[in-house]
Amino acid sequence: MSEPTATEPVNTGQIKQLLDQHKTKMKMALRVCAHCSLCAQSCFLFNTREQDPIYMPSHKFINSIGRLYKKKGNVDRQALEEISEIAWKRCVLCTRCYCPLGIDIPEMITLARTICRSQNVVNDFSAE
Amino acid sequence: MYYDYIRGPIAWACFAVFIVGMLFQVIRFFTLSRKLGTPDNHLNPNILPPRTKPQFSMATLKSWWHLKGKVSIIGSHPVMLTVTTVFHLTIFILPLFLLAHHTLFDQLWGASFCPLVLSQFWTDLLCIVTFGCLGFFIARRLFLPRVRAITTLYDWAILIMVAAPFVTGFCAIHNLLDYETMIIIHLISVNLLMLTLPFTKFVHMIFFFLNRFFLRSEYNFGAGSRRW
Ligand code: SF4
Ligand code: SF4
Repeated sequence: MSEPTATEPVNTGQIKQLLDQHKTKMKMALRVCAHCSLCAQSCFLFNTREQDPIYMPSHKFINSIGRLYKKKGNVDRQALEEISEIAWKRCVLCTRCYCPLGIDIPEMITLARTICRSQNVVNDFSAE
Repeated sequence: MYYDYIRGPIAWACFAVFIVGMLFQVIRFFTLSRKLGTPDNHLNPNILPPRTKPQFSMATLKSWWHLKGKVSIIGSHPVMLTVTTVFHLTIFILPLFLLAHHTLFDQLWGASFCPLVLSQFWTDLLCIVTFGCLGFFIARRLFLPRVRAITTLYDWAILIMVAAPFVTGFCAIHNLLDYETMIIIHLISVNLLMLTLPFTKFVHMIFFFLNRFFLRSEYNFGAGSRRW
């Protein structure tokens, strides 16, 4: 596990490159999402966390990979840490969520994890 | 004069953009998805049990309900599912089978090709149902925390854009407000809708079918021969 890297500058070029690799699919998922919230109850974390909207699958991918995409990768470490909080602590990638419009939500969250990991921002489970 | 323009060449141009845009999205879906059996990413739909032809009986229905139905959208959001299905059906039925539109086709082409035309009663009823559904969506966006949490101005714009042709059409039919103005707004909003359908959130109208029928997934309809 990497050490905390609070002082390292973020390599936005690398993030952009990763985003570009998956751009079409990501763009499509973000565009197709009708913000209907029908995916909410398919996530066990949403159900067990008093139905807090921040555990809703769409909320998670919109605020992780969606945020990275919107900012075109121009994010700082603080933002990446917030995103990693979503991608690891609010999702275990169990792939049980479903979207009636067929959006592959776990894949979007996986992408957010990949990007965080590329900048050494990972969840430190030992700190729990 | 500009009325003829909006319902003539401009409408045709928007229709052409709609068709080409939708075709582009279909092609994009097929280039982005892969046929089953190609190298994997994080999720392997190949491990799903092969699909067998569904057998319908009380017992299979009951077991389906307990295993899947209860936890699927039918079980968790029955009201929303009903409202959204009705809404999506009415917004297709109304413009396609409306008497006023068929009169227009008659004028343009000398004939209308559709054998089914809605009576005034059915038109009004379906319009009111559509407005009711729109009201339901608005209420969800305003009052349901989970929907509010992901609602943006874009979502409101989408709702207004889809409501505009129906509200103005209804007002025009019943001579509520100024007829001319209503018809002009009606035509502009329809053109705008056609123009934006393939490139905005409305694109879910095609991706719903592509994703749910062509992709192999536990909750999809049919066997599905593709995956992301
Ligand atoms: S991910 Fe799917 S179910 Fe969830 S809000 Fe978006 S469109 Fe609705
Ligand atoms: S993959 Fe993540 S969002 Fe989907 S059900 Fe599992 S924990 Fe919830």
